[in-house]
Amino acid sequence: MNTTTESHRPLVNIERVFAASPEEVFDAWLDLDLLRDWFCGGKAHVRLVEVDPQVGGAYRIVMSDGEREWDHSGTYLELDRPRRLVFTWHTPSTNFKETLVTVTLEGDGDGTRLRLRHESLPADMVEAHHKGWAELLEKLAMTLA
Amino acid sequence: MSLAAAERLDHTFHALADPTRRALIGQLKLGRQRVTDLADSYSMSLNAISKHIKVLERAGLVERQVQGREHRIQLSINSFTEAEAWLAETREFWQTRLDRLDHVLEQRRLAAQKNKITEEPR
Repeated sequence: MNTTTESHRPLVNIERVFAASPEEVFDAWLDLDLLRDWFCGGKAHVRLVEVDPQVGGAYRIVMSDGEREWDHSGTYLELDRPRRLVFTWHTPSTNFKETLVTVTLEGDGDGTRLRLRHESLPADMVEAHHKGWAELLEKLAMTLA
Repeated sequence: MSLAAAERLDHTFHALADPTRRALIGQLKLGRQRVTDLADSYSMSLNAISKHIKVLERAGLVERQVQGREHRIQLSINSFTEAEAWLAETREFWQTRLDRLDHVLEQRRLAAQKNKITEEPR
């Protein structure tokens, strides 16, 4: 978890290095066939995927395990190939409130280092203060445990 | 996550967005306290401290026990668990997908290599 962040919002930071070029990794986020292959988990498969890959364009990905469905949708805010993708993220689990996902890519040897940041964004949480949420909650959890 | 759970999570993060309320949480970690003592510790009016406590109560972060005229406040651990659950779920969600992305990119690389080899003149 990135502890140098100045964000005060609850957020998730993930880093991963891929054995592919930044262009290949970037395109995997917008390519329908590739998304169908990778944007699922467990027993669920991608039932529907729609992508309008331009700033202001919308996407929708519906996953299904045959019984239940998970509906994800949002809007692209930044598409800077092959460096950066920023998009909003709505799901039932975020109460269809806007959350924000930022994906940054940079070359790392023969591969690509991907950084993903997912933060929640309700209006009443945007006021400035300095604690990193994840850090704070971790600390609280440790103390309360 | 249910709608009610998502709303509670919003309340939790809102409640923790204020430095005074975070300090109150810090103090309550030491144990159950009387509202009047909390007000004294922060040199705040009973009215002001009560407002903060209400926000924490709504978020389910603290519980109030009333004994006669005395109001005692103590931490409730459930909301922290919920906030952590959101973080854990989101992390797990992306980890799973990035694992698959890694796999898909690897398959493509191998397929491309194979094509290259078969295209080479013999």
